[in-house]
Amino acid sequence: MGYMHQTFLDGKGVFACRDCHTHFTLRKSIESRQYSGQYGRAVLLSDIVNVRVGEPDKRSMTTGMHIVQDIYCMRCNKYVGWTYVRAFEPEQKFKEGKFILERELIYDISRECIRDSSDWIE
Amino acid sequence: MTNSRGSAGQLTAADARNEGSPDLNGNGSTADARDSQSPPPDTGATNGRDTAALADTSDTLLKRYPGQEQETQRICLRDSQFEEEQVVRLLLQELHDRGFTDTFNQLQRESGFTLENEPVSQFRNSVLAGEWSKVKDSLSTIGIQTPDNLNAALFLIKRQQFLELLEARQLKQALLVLQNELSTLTNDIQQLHRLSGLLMCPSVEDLRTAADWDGSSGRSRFVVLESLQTYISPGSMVPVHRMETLFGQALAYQCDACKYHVRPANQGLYIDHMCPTSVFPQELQFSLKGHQDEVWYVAFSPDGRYLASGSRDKTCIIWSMSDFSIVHRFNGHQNEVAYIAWSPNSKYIVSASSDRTLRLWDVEDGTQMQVFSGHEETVTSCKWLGTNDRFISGGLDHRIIIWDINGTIVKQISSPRVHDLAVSSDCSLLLVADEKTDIHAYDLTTLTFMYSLNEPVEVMSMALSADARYCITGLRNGELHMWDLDTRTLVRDFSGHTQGQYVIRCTFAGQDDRLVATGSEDGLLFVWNRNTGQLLARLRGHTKTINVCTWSDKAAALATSSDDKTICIWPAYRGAPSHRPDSTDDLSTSDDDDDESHADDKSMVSGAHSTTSIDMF
Repeated sequence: MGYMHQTFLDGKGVFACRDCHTHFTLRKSIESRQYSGQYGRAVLLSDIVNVRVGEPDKRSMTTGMHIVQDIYCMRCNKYVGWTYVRAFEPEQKFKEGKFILERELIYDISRECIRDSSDWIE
Repeated sequence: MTNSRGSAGQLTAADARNEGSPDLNGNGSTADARDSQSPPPDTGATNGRDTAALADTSDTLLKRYPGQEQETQRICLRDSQFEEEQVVRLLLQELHDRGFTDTFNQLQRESGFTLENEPVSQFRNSVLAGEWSKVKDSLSTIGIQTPDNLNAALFLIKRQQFLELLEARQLKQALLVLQNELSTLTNDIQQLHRLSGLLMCPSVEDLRTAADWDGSSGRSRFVVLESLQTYISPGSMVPVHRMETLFGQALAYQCDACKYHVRPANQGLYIDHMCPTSVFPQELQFSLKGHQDEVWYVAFSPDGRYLASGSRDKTCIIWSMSDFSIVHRFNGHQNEVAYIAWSPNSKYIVSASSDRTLRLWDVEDGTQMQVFSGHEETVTSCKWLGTNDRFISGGLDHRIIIWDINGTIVKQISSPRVHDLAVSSDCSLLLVADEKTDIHAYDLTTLTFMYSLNEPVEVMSMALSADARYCITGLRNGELHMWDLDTRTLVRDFSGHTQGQYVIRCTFAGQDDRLVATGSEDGLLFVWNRNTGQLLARLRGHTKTINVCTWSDKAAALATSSDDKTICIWPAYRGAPSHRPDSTDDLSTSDDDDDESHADDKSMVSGAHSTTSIDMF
């Protein structure tokens, strides 16, 4: 989808791709942690960088029917989550334009140890 | 001197042929007030010529000229807005410089003007002969305006005398000149110190190199004369090559006014230069297919014979510009290739990748010659440093590295994260576009920071003109800015294209960088005239975003690469490229040589199809 320069984030709590350490978002962009994806728990974010989007796909999720696009890491092309294009239920509309990252596939680069999900507790 | 010929009306050659025209009397031309010339003729003579003139055509009138020594009967065939004295003296200068001495003398006699009056001639001759006392005396007679200028001129003359005395090893006299004359003529102490230092030079060769002076028998006296020109009023001593300078200015003006300037101005002096619309790149000649993924960089070799492309499929391909076939495919990078730079001798390319390495490839052999590791993040840009053994690279790891082609790091500088680099052709200027919104300029010889240009939003791409005077920047908000680097101000804005978060590279194009081109997210190539900012064309040939566009004078073509995995070539029909069939005026013949679709996917070349269209303005 064109050449994009990789963005580097400064600030507290930069979350990055587990494989290639490409920055994705800052901790302050996390809006909610009560989501789940294919690999387990996931977080909802308002801003994200260094990802590419895939083709729009109509999916039925626990909260209803949505149109989503999978997102991939810009460097290693690995699947890391998805973004909501459209939500069919009115109460789910707030998710449109926001992003989901699967916690298994990312890590907080300020912390060395990344395996334990208890890292998420601040 | 006013042109009193105006009273006689406009005299043209056509009028001269018109037998009934009363303007043929010619008394208008002779009534000019000339310095110390013969008085206007009495009416008797002109009356007699009236009847004769009325019966004559212009040809016979002109036949009266050659043999006539009497200026009073010269008939000027047309009026001119320029003073006759100036025009004639420029002609005299040209004749003199080109060695037509007979004509030179004849013209002086016939017109009554001289190129230089006696004092100036003497002054010139004495400078060239090195007769310094005569020179000093005659300085006051040649029309120097102010005492300051007089001192400055005298200083130049005395400096030359000083150097010549040193050369002749007459050190004592040189010292006298320095102490008694040079020191009183200037306040520049450093200059005086330098000159006194020259007294210490052991030999004449040392003197010459230390003073950057080529000796009394060399060109130095001419050089002194030329520098003295600035202090002497141009009326007394006509500036050297004045007519040639004026011609050059006229040509430059024509080139500036040329809308589609892609051809050099070689039509001579008889007709104005103007590139016709037909030579502007407007037809898609070839669409090069061969990459498996988005093509992110494309560059012509300096000799115009090859095109190199780098892609998201991790390979580089070298295409031949004579038959548009794939010459080499370079595999080796572990990740996407985003930048390629050709060596000045067109033999090597350096490719930069997000696998954090640069690789040097030999275009003749098709082999990888060297891997350069040293960046810790994506390498975003690389440029050669004028020679075939050094290049510079910038990355997102806050590093700019100067490499030697054998793999060693020559110099490493910490910098902002580099998004793009540009190097001037004389390698004195380095421009760095950083990850934020600024462009920083460094002196490349000393690696010192010079100045910054600030943009309102992120700079996605940058290009520098060949004369290092202008720089264009493509911004994230879809604007294309042009900066004048001499004044460091924003001078022009180009618009019409769309650009967002993806890098779409811009370039200078055309003859002498007179055009500006950039791709767009809608798959169109936009080309503007650099001076007027007018959009010249929108070229469609790609189906997806155009990432890069580039121009080559030698190949006389624009090349664009796109996310649709293809590269398009848009030639300018200059008649020169050998692969073009000779029918430059028949645009449809390009279909002839491209029905070679190969079964394999090595290279598929297709000519202009109905999928292409262009909007010309």
